Amino acid sequence: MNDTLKIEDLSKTFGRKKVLQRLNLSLEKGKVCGLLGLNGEGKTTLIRILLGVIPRDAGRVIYDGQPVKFADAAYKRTIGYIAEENIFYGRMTVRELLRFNAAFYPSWSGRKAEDYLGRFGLAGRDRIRTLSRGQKLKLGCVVALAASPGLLLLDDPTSGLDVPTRQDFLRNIIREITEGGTTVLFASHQVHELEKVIDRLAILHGGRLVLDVDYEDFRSKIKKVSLAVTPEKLEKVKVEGIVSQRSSTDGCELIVYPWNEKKEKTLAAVSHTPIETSVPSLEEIFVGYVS
Amino acid sequence: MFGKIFLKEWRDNWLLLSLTALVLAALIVLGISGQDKATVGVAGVLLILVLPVTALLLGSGAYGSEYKDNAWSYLFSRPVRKSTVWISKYLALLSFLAAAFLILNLAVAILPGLKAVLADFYAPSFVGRVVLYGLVIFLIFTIAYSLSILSEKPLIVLALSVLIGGLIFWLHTQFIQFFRERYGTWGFFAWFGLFIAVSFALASILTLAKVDFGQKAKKTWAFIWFVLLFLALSFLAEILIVSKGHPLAKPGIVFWQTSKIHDTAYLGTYTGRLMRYDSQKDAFRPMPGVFNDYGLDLEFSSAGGKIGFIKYSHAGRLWGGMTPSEACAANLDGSQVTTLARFYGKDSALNGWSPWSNILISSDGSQAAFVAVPPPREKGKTQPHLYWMKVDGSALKSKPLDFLGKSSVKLLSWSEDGKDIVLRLAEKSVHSLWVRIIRFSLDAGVGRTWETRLPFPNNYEWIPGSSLSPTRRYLITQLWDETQEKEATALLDLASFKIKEIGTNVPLFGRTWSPRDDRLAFTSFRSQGVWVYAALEGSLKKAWEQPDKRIRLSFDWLADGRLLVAGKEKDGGDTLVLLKEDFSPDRRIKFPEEIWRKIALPQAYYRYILIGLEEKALIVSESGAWRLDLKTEQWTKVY
Repeated sequence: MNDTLKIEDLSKTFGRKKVLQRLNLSLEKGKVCGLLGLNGEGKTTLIRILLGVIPRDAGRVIYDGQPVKFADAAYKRTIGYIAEENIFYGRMTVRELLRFNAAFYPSWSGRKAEDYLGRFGLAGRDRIRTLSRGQKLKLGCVVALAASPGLLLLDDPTSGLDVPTRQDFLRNIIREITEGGTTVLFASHQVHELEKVIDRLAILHGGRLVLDVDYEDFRSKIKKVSLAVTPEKLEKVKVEGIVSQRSSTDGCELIVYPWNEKKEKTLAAVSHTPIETSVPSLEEIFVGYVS
Repeated sequence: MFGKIFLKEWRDNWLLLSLTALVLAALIVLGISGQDKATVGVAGVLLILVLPVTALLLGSGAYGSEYKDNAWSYLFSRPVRKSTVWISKYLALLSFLAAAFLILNLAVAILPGLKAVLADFYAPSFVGRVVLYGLVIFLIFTIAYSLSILSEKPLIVLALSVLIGGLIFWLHTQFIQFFRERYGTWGFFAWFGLFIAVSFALASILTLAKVDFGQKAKKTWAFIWFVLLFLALSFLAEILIVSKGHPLAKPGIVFWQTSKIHDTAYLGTYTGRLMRYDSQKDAFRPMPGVFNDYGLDLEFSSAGGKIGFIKYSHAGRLWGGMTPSEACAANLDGSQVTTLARFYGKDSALNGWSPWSNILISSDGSQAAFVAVPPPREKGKTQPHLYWMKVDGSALKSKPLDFLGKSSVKLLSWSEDGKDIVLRLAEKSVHSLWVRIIRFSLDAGVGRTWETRLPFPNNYEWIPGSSLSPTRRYLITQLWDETQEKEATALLDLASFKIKEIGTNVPLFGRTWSPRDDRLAFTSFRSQGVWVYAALEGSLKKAWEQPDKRIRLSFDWLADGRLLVAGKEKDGGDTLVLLKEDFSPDRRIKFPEEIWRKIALPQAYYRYILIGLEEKALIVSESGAWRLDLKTEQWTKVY
């Protein structure tokens, strides 16, 4: 198997709240996995567990073929992490923070760090506490990328970036690093942006992965269907795989996965008008799965 | 990695560093500028407070900055073990503290004005105090640091640290003597140190393995668990140290009172045991059956060849502590212990009574006397009584002492004819101490009385050393002249009740009577030597000039009446000097290096005791005892 990261039956409880329940997920080398979920659904918790910041209650994490323990640290040398809120030590300057981090990562490249600094328009002399939220985020990207990580964990980083940087990040940087073999776990709720970069899609809801698919294949098999039928009548025909259903006076709008000819025929038979199919947006898919 | 975190901590605490530097600067200015009382006082307070406060702030804030805005998740997401974070943070802050500690103490040691903070600056003693002070600061810091990871609120950590640190320190002061005697100084330090080490190790284990930083509830439970485990492990640490196999568990005996009769020395320990140095066997033996509390009275009757003491026991009760249960007498070697009176049991005449004085033995050793007070509901007898009896406990007689009131009483001497006893009554009030010396006739009651009122009660009670001469003829006492507001030390002849002044406004320390009962050696804070007062002539002479006043003087009389002084000489080194009859130096005997090294550090707390006997001297300290043969100048280890 060419999996960089494999998560098996991972569980985590906060007090009485079961945040993650027997979660299974595999990340293929050099691919981008989009992890979608509502606020508080456990995306950040999962990433913190993967980083060994908080302990897991049960389950296994296998990174590069090796099982990882809570107390381990060495495996993190090839893991980059960009958080939504980047907290650095405010008294340090940008360059001091880079030096501080360089000591932790054997594959750290000073040249890369300088390149990214220039690319993001950051000055090495600036004190971190004087940086804006977006600038701190950019600095987080520099730190994560300069270490040439094998696995990059992104916890909704793009929402705080300015438009040009965000576009650069999504269009170029992600592509550059995945071409270099880096695997990316991209947790976000900025769904329309994820669409552009992900190879795999996972949706976290109620502590479980309600969807975990190859995105390209999934896109070809999921359809949004508009048809003129009453909900009662639709219920009787029992079509499997309805992700979401929206009814109006004109009829119903369904998202169906996987879509096939049999389902098309069944639905065409009950519809007063010819059915219309289109590819749903990721946003519609996400809403469909979590509502 | 270690270095990076280490440096980061130093950088993060620069504010505290500057604060410490400021205090140091203030201390230096004070140290250079003046020696007056106020300056020294301010410097002392700064000196005592600055380090514990720094330790508390450093420790309690150690993780506060990491909790702020969840910075811990950033640090712990780096490829660094949590233990590395934990230890490097700890060591960084500790090194910071150690640097401040060293600088401050060096400043004190070097600057003349600051030296005055410690009244009698002496390097070994200073080092000893610094070690103990350092341990306390280390303890405060470690507690605060350990707690800081369990709570994100530095204020709570600070309060808890003060509370727990205070509790441990209180226990420390409560049991210091007990532990020192059981474990020896180093064993005691090890106990103290292990306490800290255990708390630290435990906090580390908990933090690294269990604590989920993201959850408040889990941290609270971790804290409760931490406290319980901390207590359990500290008990375990204690058991480990107590167990005999532990190299640090060598018990030391801390003596605090000595007395000599002929060629035998008696040493009272802090736990109330009485040890006897057997000159023939050259060994220390515990006196059998002798158990007393802190006020062990070592002023024996030397003529009678007997010792009187109060035996403590559970007195037939299953629960509760030891209480005085019997008045006893024994030979000076501890043999032939007889019961004079029992203070419990229905068959005893003194059932329920409590001893109220020492046990006095008559000069021929045939009789014993003591004062006892009746139980609260005793019918008929409501006054304290003087009891006297033969030393085998027979022929018990008593007389009420209606003049006693609330005074404490000590029986000083018994006349040769056995008819009179001289008692000293003392009664404290808030601002004075009233002392009465009464000759009490066993037939006719109160006879001659001499009294004085002293304005400073503590002064009188506190001054250590023997106030009674070996034959119980003279008593040293304080006098207060109200018209001239002058305090004097005087010699009271207990036979004639005549009084002679020895000196005014000079407290006498280390008062030691010569074996012939005619001369009294002493030192004082003001003089730099040993003074000898001749009781018959009433003359005072300086017997020994101490060039280096930083060292505390030890001195004692030999059995033949020559004076032996241990002190530091100008050329350095620590030497015993034997003085001739006219107090001119006769011989100098240097302490062997290994003995000096052993007694030097405990000396920081309790100096060694020098005991002069017949042609030999004993050096007794917590680390051991040595005998010096003055003829051959050979040193022999006694224990």
